[in-house]
Amino acid sequence: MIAPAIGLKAQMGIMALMSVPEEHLRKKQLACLSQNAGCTPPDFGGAASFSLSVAQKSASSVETTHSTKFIQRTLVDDENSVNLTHLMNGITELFNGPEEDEYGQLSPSSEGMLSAFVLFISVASEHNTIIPKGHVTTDSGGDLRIRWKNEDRELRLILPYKAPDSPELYIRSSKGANLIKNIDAAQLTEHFQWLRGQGVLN
Amino acid sequence: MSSIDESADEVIFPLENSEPVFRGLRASWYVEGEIDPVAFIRRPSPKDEKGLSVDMRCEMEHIYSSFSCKAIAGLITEAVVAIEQLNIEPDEPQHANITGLPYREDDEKLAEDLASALTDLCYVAWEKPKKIS
Repeated sequence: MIAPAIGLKAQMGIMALMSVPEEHLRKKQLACLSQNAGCTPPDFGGAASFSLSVAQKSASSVETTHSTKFIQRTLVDDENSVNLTHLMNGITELFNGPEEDEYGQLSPSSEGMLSAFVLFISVASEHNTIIPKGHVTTDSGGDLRIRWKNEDRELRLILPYKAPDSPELYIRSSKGANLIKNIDAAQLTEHFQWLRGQGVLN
Repeated sequence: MSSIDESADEVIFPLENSEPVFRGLRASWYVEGEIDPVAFIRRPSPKDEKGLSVDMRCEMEHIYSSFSCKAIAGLITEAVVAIEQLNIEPDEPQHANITGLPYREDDEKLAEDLASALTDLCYVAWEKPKKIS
């Protein structure tokens, strides 16, 4: 089974990092925190560990340390670990890669990246839900996009490059399409179940 | 239907229905033989002012040598303009814009819907050769 939720302080740590106003300072801080935490993304069992270490450092919390270790340990062998690691590695690789290419912005912002981490960790831990294997990319504006498909069912999670914009979920099937703004972990969980054919959407 | 950019010095003939247009794909837009709909999302304003940039009447080499792309998607003009509100407008001898696609910030849902529609229509016109190990 999946570990219980990461501590509130861990999430506050991630939020604190997201509130740093300057993008380049945030990148610097992330790099610094990852060095201090002794982990080198994306190699250390996926970026989940990286983000948790960032949160751990930011929150300076013993409780978080225990949660982090527990999550790392319990996620190792299950499907969620593999999928979560795959997704977070994909995001971290884009984040650490070139800033731009001929098409425009290539790397996501730290806000986009951390929003994704917070959502995924919350879905996996608080909602005990397996995150399906998805495909990570960015659009030409640097919005982070994760896409999941299962036969005719498709989900696209869009995490905007700019901080005030909130995550969106585009849902598509043979019956039509819909877009939900301000998507949260509970809604994402419900849509993962729908993607697997286990639930009906309202 | 396609139109001519009269401001250009050179005469640019409209696209025939059967002619293809091409869109280079970033590495992360083409994975395991599948094209991601993100390839057909316009860059935020003020970029892509005229529409979504596509190449036309050119060799594949012209595209992949200009862009570091992993693959090239092809779209047949007739199929694109059959989608209500979409058009292809050439503006250079080897370049055109797909018009009618909204900026995402103006209409997120429609931008995603139309990107999906174009993804369903497109085909892989060129793929970067895989390295032989």
